[in-house]
Amino acid sequence: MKKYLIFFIICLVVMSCGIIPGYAMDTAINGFISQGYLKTDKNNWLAETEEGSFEINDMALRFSSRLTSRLFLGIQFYARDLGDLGNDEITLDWFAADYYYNSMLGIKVGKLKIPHGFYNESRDADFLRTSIFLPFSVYAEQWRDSFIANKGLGFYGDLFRNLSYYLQIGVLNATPDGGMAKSFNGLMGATITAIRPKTCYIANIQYRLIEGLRVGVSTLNSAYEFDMTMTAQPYDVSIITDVISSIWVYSAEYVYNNLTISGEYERSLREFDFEFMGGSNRHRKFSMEGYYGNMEYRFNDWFSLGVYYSVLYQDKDDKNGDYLSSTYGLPHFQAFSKETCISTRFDINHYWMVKLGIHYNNGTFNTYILDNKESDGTVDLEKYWTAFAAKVTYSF
Amino acid sequence: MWDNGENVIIAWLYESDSHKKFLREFVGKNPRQFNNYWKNRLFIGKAHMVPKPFKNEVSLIRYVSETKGAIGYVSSFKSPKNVKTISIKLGVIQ
Repeated sequence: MKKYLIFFIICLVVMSCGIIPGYAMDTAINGFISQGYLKTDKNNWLAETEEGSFEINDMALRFSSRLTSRLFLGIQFYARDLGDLGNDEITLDWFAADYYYNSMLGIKVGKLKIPHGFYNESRDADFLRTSIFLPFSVYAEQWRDSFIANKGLGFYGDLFRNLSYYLQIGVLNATPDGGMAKSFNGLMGATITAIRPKTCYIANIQYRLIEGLRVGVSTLNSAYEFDMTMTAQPYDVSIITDVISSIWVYSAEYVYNNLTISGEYERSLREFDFEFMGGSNRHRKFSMEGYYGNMEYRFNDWFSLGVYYSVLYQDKDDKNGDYLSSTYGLPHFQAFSKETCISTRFDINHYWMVKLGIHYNNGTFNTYILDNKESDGTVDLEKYWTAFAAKVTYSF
Repeated sequence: MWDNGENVIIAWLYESDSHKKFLREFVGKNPRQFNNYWKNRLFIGKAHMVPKPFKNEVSLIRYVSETKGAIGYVSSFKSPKNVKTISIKLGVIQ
């Protein structure tokens, strides 16, 4: 990791020394590097944050080349550290061959960013918004590795003057050491040993009603097969699980001069078919529900203020967490997350940016249970808690 | 893309008054909003090249004259050669 960090720092110094970034013949080079700090008064969130943590950083380097007037190649390398996820391992974040046939049809092949909601494709580029983190209700940071890109094929274009579409088919990325697996492991007292993603289908349609106002709907339909070992009583078996997930997001955004107002609603149907080795089967079906409202205002060239309120329920039919508590022995407030976030952004210049944020939380669904377990296995979580976040970013 | 199939390549002056005036008058954005718009499109894969920045008008004009599909804007005090020009006054296209 150290050698890659040195490489990125050299790029950063060279770019700052009067060389205009992002310009190199027909190849464009862009990127960013950021370092954050997170501190919570109770509960560990994303990392060991009760003691304060600097394990919040990421960096990306993007190359894009124009081969012909219609054919482009792009690739992005990405590394992040988020608690015990990522650990600055450089990954091939996405790569694509993009053929632009006309305004109504373009074709992309490769590992493509997923057009989930309005902001999933740009979620890593936090220099494009005021807050450090996107609202957990639609863009859970813990599950980024599974929802950032899709290996497959995409079609995009503008059907009419104000209507755009993007369709994808492919396979999501999910690994036993990823964020999604960590969430399941904590909830079910299980250890996921293998994940086999199946074909997923994604669609995103956006419509610009008037200047500055757009609405959209997106859907992501995927399936997985998990192998897991369950050790929480009364189970002590190996299990194969089929998971089907169907997510719908309804989005709206209004931009007027320096004011941005946005909101999204997500409904996510999950179906689990547990096949216990040598034993019985079990089926569970439930819908997650989440929504948020966000407002940002840029006061001048260097200062912006933003606030959002975000709500996520693990099961819309168990909002109080009674079923969760009685079935898994977890605190009832693990069933939901209600978050108010106030953010400030300071633009030092075109490249450097500093952000501060404070998050007031009711509920702990946005935390990892595994990060909040005592040595004796008991879960140590508090219902009301506050997080302070800071981040410095250089982008070019 | 131009009608002849060539890519539109935008050239702009790095932190200049003409850039700020042009954006305010014809694009409705300030330089930071313009920058973020293209960064957004770049990082979500909807653009593959961002507008090319130049430190001075001489290098910008030379680039536009040498590059197919390129277009840029400079102050009216310059009289660029080897490029087609459109004169613009605030609120009026000539």
